[in-house]
Parts: sequence; C-alpha cells; structure tokens
Amino acid sequence: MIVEQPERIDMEILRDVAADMRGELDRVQEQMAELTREHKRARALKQIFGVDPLTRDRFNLLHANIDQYPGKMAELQEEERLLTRWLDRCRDLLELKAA
Amino acid sequence: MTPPSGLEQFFGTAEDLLAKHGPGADTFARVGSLLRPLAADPDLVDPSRLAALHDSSAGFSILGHGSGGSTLMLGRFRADAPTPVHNHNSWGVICVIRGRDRHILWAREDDGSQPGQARLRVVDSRELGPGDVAWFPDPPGDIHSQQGIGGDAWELVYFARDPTTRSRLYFDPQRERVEERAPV
Repeated sequence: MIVEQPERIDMEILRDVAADMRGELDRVQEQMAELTREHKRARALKQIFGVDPLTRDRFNLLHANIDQYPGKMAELQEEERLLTRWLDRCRDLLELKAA
Repeated sequence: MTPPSGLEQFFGTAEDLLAKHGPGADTFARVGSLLRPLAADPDLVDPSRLAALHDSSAGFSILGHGSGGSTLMLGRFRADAPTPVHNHNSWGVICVIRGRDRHILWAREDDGSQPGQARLRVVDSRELGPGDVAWFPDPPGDIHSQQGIGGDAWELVYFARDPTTRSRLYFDPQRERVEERAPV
C-alpha cells in the first residue's frame, strides 16, 4: 500500500493564503450586510409603493432584493461557511508547524 | 371568493381603466404596470394552492374576481412540455413573477366551418422574464401556448372574464385538429 505523505507547506505561503482568505471572508460578510440592508430597503419600498403601478425598473429592484434575496443570501452563507472552515484549517496547520 | 388584500384596489383600478379606455395595447400596458406590484410578492409562489391546468403539468389558481367579472389567475408553467395550444374566450394580460416563459401567440387561418379542423400559424413568439408584461387580444386572437424555460415559470394572468367557467378550444396545429373541452 502506498501512503501519500501530505506535501510540506511553506509557513510564509500558508500565512499569505490565510491572510487572503481572511480578506475574502471580510468581503463576503460585508456583502451579506449590504444584501440585508438592500433587502430591508426593498421591503420598505414595497410597502410604500403599495399596489400603485410599477415601472419595470422599480419591479426589477423589488424582485432582485426580495424574491432573489434568500437565494443570494444562501450562496453567501455557504461561502462564509467554507471560508471559515478553511481558515480554521490554516490556523491548525500553522499551529502544527509552530509546535 | 374574497380577494386577498391589495387585490380589491387592483381590480377597481384595472376595471376603471378598461371601462374608460377599452381593451387595447395602451390599456393592457397600464394594466401590466398594475400587475407588477402584485407580482413582486414572492409569497404568491406557492405550489400548494395550484390545481391542474389544461390537463397538463401546468397549474393554476384563481386569485380573485373584480366586481365587473374580471379575473386574476396565478399560473405555473413547467419546462418539461408546453401547454396545449388553447383559447380563453377572453383577452388576457400576463405578468411574470418568477422564471422565464416561452409565450407563443397563434392565429387561426381557416374559417372554422369544418368541425374538428383548424389551421393555425404562429404570429408571435417571445421569451418573458420576471416583470415582463405581454397580452393576447379578445377572441379570435386569444389562442396561445406557454412553456417554462429552464424551470418553472410563475405568472399572473388577468382576464376580462373567468376563463374556467366556459369550455375552451384545444388545438393540435400539426394535425390541424381542434376540439372543445372543459377548461381545466
């Protein structure tokens, strides 16, 4: 049986990867906050518009931020979950190297 | 059936518009803009409220009626097969809520004098997305078919009169046949 040894990773590269991922996680969390703000704004607008006639542009704004909100948020949450998991692995690898 | 909240205003405004200006492209465009705020409500998209439509995989629910008899229907059109080509005994204004719809408008070329026979041609075929509005005119121009593109298409269809109360014509353009059947 051939056991494949995990490739040795350079500490500097590992730190660099972790920093990039942390930046990416920050951006994803900012996008989630922005999406939530836009969603709340669209819900307020929907209430203000009531059942008055809507132009295509105004409909698009409501559709993008109300109907499509759960799907967009689920994608970002999945991205956040994965980035958090990978950052944990980076931290474990760095601690292992440091030990 | 009591219309859900918001629908009373829609029916009142739409029926007033139609009474003042008559059914026509300008009025239908204005009715379409009245349908958009209703179509912006994702809670409408609820498969549990649908009944089978046209004896096909399409589904529908009547959302309400105006005092003048106009009727608002919620429809879901699957991507697996188009609806049969059919009429509605009424004009209709469509507004897509979610998904994409292939909407085909047909015209009858024969004079209807031969029972069971009908020759049709396509007069318009368009792809509709969320917020898009389309309409079909009063009979005999109310022959159409629909199909979701890449998934279910959900839409509102507003009719002059309830399309479920009268039998409809169902066409087979390839075989040049037509038959009258119950509407659902």
